[in-house]
Amino acid sequence: MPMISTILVHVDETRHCPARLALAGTLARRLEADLVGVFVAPPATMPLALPGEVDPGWNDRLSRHRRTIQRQAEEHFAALKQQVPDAVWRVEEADGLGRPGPVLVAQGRRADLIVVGQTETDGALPQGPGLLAQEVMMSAGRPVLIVPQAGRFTDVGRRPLIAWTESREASRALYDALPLLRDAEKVHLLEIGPARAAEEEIARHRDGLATLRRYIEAHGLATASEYLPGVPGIGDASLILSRAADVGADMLVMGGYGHSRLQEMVLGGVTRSILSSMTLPVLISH
Amino acid sequence: MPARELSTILVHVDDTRQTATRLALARGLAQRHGARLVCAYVSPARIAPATLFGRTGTDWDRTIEAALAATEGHARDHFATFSPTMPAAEWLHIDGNQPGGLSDPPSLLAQAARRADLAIVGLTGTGEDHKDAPGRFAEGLIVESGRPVLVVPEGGPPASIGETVTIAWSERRETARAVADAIPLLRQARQVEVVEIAPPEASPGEIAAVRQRLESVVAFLGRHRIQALSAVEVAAGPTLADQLLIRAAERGSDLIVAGAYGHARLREFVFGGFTHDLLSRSRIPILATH
Repeated sequence: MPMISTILVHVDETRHCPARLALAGTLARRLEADLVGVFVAPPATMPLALPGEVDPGWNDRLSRHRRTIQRQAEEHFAALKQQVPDAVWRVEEADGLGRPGPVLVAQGRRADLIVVGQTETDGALPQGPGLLAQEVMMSAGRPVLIVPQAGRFTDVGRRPLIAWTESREASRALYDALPLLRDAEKVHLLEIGPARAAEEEIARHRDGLATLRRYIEAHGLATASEYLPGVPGIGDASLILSRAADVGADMLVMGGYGHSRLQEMVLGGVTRSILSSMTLPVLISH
Repeated sequence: MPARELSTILVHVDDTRQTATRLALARGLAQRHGARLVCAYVSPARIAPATLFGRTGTDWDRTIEAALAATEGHARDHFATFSPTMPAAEWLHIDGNQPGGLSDPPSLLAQAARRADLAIVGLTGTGEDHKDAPGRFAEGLIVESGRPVLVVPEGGPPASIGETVTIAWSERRETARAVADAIPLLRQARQVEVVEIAPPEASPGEIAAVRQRLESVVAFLGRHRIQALSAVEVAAGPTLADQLLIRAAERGSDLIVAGAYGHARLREFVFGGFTHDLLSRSRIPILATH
């Protein structure tokens, strides 16, 4: 399995941030990786020339806002420094629109793992969950560990659940997850098939899982696998999350499905559902 | 137990002479990394022109069966010659006639490659008789497997691999992934150069920015304890791929690392000119990831 030497974690002002940093800190220590915390500062002046006269008070408000959230982010990072004294702090300027995504993508391409939150706001802005995670997952070319907005997670990769399908994305996610699974007690593989399938087809899937287990075991890991038929009326995402709870998984590993259409990211249905309803950290690769 | 970086290597075996080259290369890598070696053969799909022409159950069927058997026989001969040099190497027969329609050889091989840490393939993959466009087979495998794929050009086994490495950098996700995927193969490198080719009209400021980007890639590799240097070239060659290949050849590189990118068109994925040119023209093995 490849190694992880650099972990990049997104630092922001939100109340979700401390749990994210703590998890990144635990991983960095366990995997002996360098940890870099990146705060992406929003513009301190009006990014766009608006028609008409701009109230000069706006720039004051923006730079005050920036100072406030940066101070909050610095406090979060200071707590991480207690846990990982060598952690590196970086402040980067957001792009003209104030989005942190492009910065995390560019920096993330020079890291082995990118840790972001499920939501990047405290709910004040009308942004759906997972937007930043999506953007980074689709563009960075590196695995992204998404930490849910609710709950506290002490470690990941001890009891991983791999949501397998015969696809490039799932294959990528598994490969990228391997270095996090070094200390796994057992790696659970789950494949969800169609609600109804011929015996022959099911046998083929089971064979596929068996050869996959052999591959994972060659990395010195213990495995278990199951094939489940889909359940009409219940989405695959719900089935996956429910099995994750049943086996006591501490992390879900899955392929991130989607494509960019013009400027817009279109995610696959299961990926979208998981990103909005995840109850455990998710390692995702596109 | 210290983790092995490469635990399973898959190498494509077919009826072409290039198979011997790939097997020798694969053995070297498997031994260096202590990895399992899986030698995979995909039998051609039994398309049935007989039924199309109304000649079922005739000599025609027997002719096809004989041709298929001969193809597989050649592939098995290659493996039989190789096997004594590495008794632990495994033979994997993949049936090209799959129920449910999955019968494209690169797709079938990709399924097996998803169970390996590295796949090794040649430029042509369809046998001596029907030469596909060079690189198409490898491209299919790269797109569908999601794994790093080592594409081995025509010719005898290279004397070394991964000692002098050229990394073709561009600010793309595929490139970032290829570099990360290459790390196990860079462990024994004596010289690694990260090159980006800047557009001919690039200003000194833009070139400085490229240089800075490359330095951060060099730093990333350094954290993996791989020493690298960076270089910016300004586009001058006939194509970017040619310019990169020339640079790699001048430095005596025995491995090129590159992201494989392109775009989805209808139902198939098409690689861009750079990737296709690089794969089809290189005389140096290329590690590519999509």
